[in-house]
Amino acid sequence: MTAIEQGAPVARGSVTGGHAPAGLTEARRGPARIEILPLAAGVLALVVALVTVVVNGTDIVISPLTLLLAATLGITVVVRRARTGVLDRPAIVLAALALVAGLVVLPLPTWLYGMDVNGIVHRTVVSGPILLLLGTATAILAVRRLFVASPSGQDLALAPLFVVPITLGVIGFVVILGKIAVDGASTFRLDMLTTAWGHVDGTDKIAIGYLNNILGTFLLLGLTLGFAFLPGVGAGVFMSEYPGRVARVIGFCTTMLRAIAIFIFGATAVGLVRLANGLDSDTFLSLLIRGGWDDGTRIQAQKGSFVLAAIFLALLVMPVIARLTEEGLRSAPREMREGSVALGATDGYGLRRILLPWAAPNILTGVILAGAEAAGGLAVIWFLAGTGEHGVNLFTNVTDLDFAVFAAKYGPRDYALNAVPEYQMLQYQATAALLLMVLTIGLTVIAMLLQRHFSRRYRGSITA
Amino acid sequence: MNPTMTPGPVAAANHKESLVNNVMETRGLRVAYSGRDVLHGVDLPFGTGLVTAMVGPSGCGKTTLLRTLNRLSELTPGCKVGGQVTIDGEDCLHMDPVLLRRRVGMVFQRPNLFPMSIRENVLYGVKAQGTTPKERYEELLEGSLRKAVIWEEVKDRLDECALALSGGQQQRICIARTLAVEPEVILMDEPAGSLDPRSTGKLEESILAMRGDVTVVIVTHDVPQARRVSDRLAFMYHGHIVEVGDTRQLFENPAQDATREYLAGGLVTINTETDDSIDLSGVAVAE
Repeated sequence: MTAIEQGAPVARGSVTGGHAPAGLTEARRGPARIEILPLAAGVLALVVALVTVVVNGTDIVISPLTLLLAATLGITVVVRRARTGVLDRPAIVLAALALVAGLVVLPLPTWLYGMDVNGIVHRTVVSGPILLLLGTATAILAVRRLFVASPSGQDLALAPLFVVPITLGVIGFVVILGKIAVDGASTFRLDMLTTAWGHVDGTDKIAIGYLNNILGTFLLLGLTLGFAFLPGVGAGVFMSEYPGRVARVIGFCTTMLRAIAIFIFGATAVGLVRLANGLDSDTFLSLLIRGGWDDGTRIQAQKGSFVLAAIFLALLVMPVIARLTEEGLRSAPREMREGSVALGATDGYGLRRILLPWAAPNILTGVILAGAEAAGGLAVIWFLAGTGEHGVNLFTNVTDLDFAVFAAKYGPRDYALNAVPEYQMLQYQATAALLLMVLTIGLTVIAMLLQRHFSRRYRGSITA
Repeated sequence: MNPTMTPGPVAAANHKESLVNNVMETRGLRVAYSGRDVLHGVDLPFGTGLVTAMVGPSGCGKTTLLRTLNRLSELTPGCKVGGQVTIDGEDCLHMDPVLLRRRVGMVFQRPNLFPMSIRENVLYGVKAQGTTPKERYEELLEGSLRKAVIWEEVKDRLDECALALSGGQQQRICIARTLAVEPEVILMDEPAGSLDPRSTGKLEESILAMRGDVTVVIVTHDVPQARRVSDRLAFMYHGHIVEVGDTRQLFENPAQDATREYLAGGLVTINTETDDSIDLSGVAVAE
């Protein structure tokens, strides 16, 4: 700031003939105080536009504010021209845009009909973003002009580019998480963690609890990652360490596996279950695919087992682990690889002792992402899952918290939750969502701590 | 190896060197990267237990030659090697490269320790080769650290991360790591390239300490350093050996003017395109 304060008197003193004295650049003369005007207007516009996201009452000031932006920009253009003889073209363009936008937005009706949109739209949906864009641009321009004497200060002018989206993101995040937390906490009871949802002793009464959904989430996560880990890491090692045609084919396949819509996995799994419907319910294959529970007299077949669900989820997440493993191995310094080779170590030994430990943080990242995806892979288990009221093991009907969130409101007819009044279901849905949120955040934090530990342990002071 | 034993095929082919056995030797060695010739038929013997230094301007093929001796150059895609490299008379280019690298160790230009403890680093090669009984580990550890003149500095912190050491210390650990597998030959690619003068001094000390026990081939840009540490000197230029011989002799009385110029000021004024009077294809051995 001192640069500006020192620069300002020089600038004032030199405004005599209206044009710059020879040999004194604008940067040396310092900025004009008048630039504060568009800055203030821009910041005001930004704040109003951001508030508009959640409040409709700002509607009335949007158009005047847009015109104000145009006016302040116009003033600075005139003043700058008089002081330095420089014609500020960006400011002129911006002022013109603001003027046009202000004049267009002004006569808009409060509600917009038609426009090939089936429905009505409030005018802030149009005017708000316009104000946001113009306000941001004006603020950035004004800060750049203010810091004209300080090159590093110019970087500061770009701050709104980060601040605005981050603010929007944080608002959205807080609103969503806050809603889940408040709704979920309102019906949460501690015994929900120790009770499994289901009929009480064969009656129509429903016991409310998420024990089996929570256990199911852990089982499904564990199985999925168990199935996906070795093939994923193996594919990653192959793609990184044995480049060639085969590696390219594997790389292509893993990419294509990602490109398949998640629902296709679910549909394929359902197809398998249909095929298994011809089997006796107590055969191993039937248990493996459909799952089953013992009702005291015989094994009742179910809609899909944990193992089946985990296999399809593993297919879904395997490419993530493969890609991150490959990335981690490729990031290992060449000198380190050569060091291992030059000591007479075989490729396999170097891979075990040097490269895989080096890639461990990346692999862990892959596992975290894969786990997050598996925990949220509802589309895969959509048609397979049930309440989990008949217990949680490898060969019973798959269930998890994810499914509980969905099924509380929209679940299939036979879902036990349908025995509960609808208003309660909504609350239980929020409770399940809250539990899922806490669980995933908790697991992620643990994984991040592990990751940091791995980084220190296996990469030493070298950071990649 | 006993220098007075019956000369093997390698030594016999090199009758001028017959007093010293050559543990390693290249004959007509040609190396090309992606079709671009880097070495044009190099004949170079490496006397057993001696320190052979290779000097020459940047890009003359010193490092390529060095990396071909343990076949590390093969890791670079597009590298083609022709001619002959032998170790104890065996054909290096057609043996298992892992076995070759167990006999020919290497120290790189920049220290490239692994992110492990000092102990694990030094014993890495030993464990990788898996032929040494566990009981010998401690002895090998101390012995090689002593030979690399680093034992006193690290003996109390063997289980700390090796990457916490200074660059010069790390480079000497690299030497110890290479010595621990008891190779016949150690290749050094500008080992002092990234070190300060004090660390360089210590490094040279460790090279001199291993002279006689192990054959050293060192590439360096530092002509005075070559003079200080080497027994034999090879001057390379544009993929050819211009002159090779006893270090002191080469400094005092080189056969080629180019050698004299380079050793005196590090500048060479041979114009290979127009000047055919200097025969670069053969090896000029100083008597």
